[in-house]
Amino acid sequence: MPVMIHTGTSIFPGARNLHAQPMLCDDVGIDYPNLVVILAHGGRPLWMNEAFFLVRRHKNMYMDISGIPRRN
Amino acid sequence: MEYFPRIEDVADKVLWGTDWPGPGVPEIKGNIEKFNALPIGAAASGKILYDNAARLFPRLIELVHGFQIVKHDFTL
Repeated sequence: MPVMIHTGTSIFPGARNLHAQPMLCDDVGIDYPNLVVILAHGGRPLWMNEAFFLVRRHKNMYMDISGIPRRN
Repeated sequence: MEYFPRIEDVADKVLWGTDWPGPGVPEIKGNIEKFNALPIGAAASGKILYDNAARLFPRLIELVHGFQIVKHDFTL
């Protein structure tokens, strides 16, 4: 069963972003290498390099490209 | 593409999505039109839009199409 984890900032009132960094999922990829993990929003917009790295590093780590703000 | 210039390198690991009805996403159609306008090759685009999700969520394919066309090959 795939597990989807929110990554990236959220501007909902009261949303806390401290633990929204994709890199926190690195340990998950190490400890559960066969678990399918989807990094929602690909770490938008501050940590997209992290998400890209993790997807390349871990065999069963994916990301989605939903809810990515346009870059002005 | 500005955010993920090398998205085609990981085309097997990316899922399209909308975040609807989240803030800034009034409807789904515009989202897929914007994706289709990106300079991404047809092979990679097909994986991101359909194949990867079909592989990860075989039950969903079963529900949509009425039969299972992709075998679930993940072992936990």
